[in-house]
Amino acid sequence: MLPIGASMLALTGVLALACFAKAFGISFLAMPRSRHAKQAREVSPAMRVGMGGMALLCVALGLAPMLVVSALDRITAPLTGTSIANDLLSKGGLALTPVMGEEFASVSTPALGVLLAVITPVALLGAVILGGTLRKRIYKTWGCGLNLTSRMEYTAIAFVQPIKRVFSTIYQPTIKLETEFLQESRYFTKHRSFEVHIEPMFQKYLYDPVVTFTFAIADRLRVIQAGSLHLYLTYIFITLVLLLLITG
Amino acid sequence: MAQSMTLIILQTVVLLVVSPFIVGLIRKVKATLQCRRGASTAQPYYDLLKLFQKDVVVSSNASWIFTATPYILFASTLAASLLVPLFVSKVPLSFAGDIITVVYLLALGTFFLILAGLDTGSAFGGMGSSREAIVASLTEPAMILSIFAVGLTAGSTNLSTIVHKTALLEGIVTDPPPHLMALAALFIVTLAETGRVPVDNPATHLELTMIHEAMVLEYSGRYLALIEWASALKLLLFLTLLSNVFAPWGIATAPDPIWMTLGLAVWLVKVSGLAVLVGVIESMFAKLRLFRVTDLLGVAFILSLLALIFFYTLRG
Repeated sequence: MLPIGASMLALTGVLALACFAKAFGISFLAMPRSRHAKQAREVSPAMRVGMGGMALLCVALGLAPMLVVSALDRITAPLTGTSIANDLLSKGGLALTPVMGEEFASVSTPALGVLLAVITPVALLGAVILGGTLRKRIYKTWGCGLNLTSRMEYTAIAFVQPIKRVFSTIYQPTIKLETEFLQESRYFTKHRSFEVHIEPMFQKYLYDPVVTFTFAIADRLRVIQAGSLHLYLTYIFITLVLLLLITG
Repeated sequence: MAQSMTLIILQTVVLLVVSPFIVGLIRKVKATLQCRRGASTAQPYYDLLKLFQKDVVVSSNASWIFTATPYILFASTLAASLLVPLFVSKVPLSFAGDIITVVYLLALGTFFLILAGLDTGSAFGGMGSSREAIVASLTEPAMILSIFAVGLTAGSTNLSTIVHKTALLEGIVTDPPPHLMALAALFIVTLAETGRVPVDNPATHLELTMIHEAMVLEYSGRYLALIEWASALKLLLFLTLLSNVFAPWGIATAPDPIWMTLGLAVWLVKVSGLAVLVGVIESMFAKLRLFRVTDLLGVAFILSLLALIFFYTLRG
C-alpha cells in the first residue's frame, strides 16, 4: 500500500504545484489582465509583515523540521507508550529518518539547503568566468509582429484546460457556448457568451450530505429545546442526578 | 570528511562535463540515422560557451522570477543529481535525501520554469507552462511507483542503498518480471520528463506542439545556457537512474580509486548506450498528440503497478 500512497501523494504534489503556479502566475506575473490589476498598489508594511511572517515560518519549518520532532513526540509518546524522537533523528539531529533506520530512507533539508546555497553562487561565478560580466538588455516580448496586449496572454481557464480535460471524469466540466449570429450572414457574430463550470465533487457528494444530515437531526432535536426556563432547570437536575448515580 | 568532499566535487565535475556530451551523442545518432554527417559530439560544449558570452535580452514584462529561474533550475537539478550514485554506490550526500527528494528537487525547478514561462506574457510561454504542468502531473506518480517497485526488493527508498544492495545482489529476490516492467515504466517516464520524442520534441522551435522549448522561448544568453545545461543534467540524471538502479553491476562498491575508475568507465558506456537508444527511438517514432501522451504515461503507470503486484505475489 505504501508505494501506491506515495505515488498518489506525488500526483497531489504536482497538482498542487500546478495550482499554485496558476494562482501566482496568472495573478501576479506578466502584464496586468484587468483594469483593477493595472491600478493595484502595494499594501502597507503592516499588512505585509503578517503574511511574510507566516511564509518565513513555513520556510523555517521546511529547513529545520527536526525542531518540531521532539515537540510532537511529547504528544505522541504518552499515547503510544514509546518515545520515537531519538529514532527519527540521525547525523547529529540534522537528518530525519523513519523508525526503520537510516538504511531505509533519510532526508536532511538543512543539508539540501546548504547544497542549494552553495551551488547558486558558484553557478553565478561560473557564468561570470565563462562569459564575463552580465550585459543585459530590456526589450518588449515578441508578439509575432503585433503589439502584445494582455488579451493575448494565457488565462487561468486556458492554463488548466489540459488538466481539466485529462481528469474530466473527476471534474465533470460543463461548457456552455452561445453564439448569436448576424441576420445577414452566419460568418459574423453579434454576441458570444462562454461559460465553464466544474462539478464540485467533494462538496456535492461528501460535504453536502453531512451538512443536510446534521441539519435534519438538529430539526428533530429542537423539540426538547422549547424555550421554557423550568424545563431547562429540570434537564440540569436530571443530568446532575444521572452524573451522581454514575460516579457514585 | 575530506574524502566525502572530494567525492562530491568529483561527481559534480563529471556530471557537468559528461551531460553536454550525451546531448551531442543523441543528436549525432539522429543525424546518422537520417543519412547526415551531423555536428560533432562536442557541439553542445561550443553552444554553451557561446551562449555564456552572449548578451542577455530580458522582457520588459518580466519580474525577478525570470532572472532567478535559470539559477534555481540549475542548482536544484545539480543538487538532485548529486544524490544519485554514478560510479561509486554510496554517495556521500545520500543522507540528504532519497528518491522522493530527487523527484521534489526536480519539481522545484519545474515550478519555477512554469512561472518563468508565464512571466513574459507571451502566449507561447503560457502554452508551454500549461502543458508542462499536465505532463509533470502524469509522469511523477509513474516515476515514484516504478522506483518503489525496485526499492521494495532492496528494502529502501534511498538510492545509494538500492544501488549498493543490487550491485552486491544482497538480500534481493532477483525476479526479472517486476524488475523489467519497472524498467520499461521508468524509460517511458524518462522520455516524458526530459522532453523527448514521443512526448516533446527538443529539436523544434516556434511550433504549436512544443512544451519545454515553449517555456524557455524568451530566454537568451547565459540564462539559456544555464537552462540548457540543466536540461542536459536532467537527461543524464534519468539515464543514470535507468542504468544504475536497474543494472548497477560494474559500479564501485567502495571508494577505491581503481574500482572507481572502472565504475566511471562502465557508467559512461551504460549511459552512452541508453543515449543511443533514445536517439534511435527519436528517429523511429513521431511525436504524439498532447492528449495521446496521457495513454502513454498511463501505460507507464500501469506497468509499474503491475511490477508491484508481481513483486508481492512472487514474494507470497
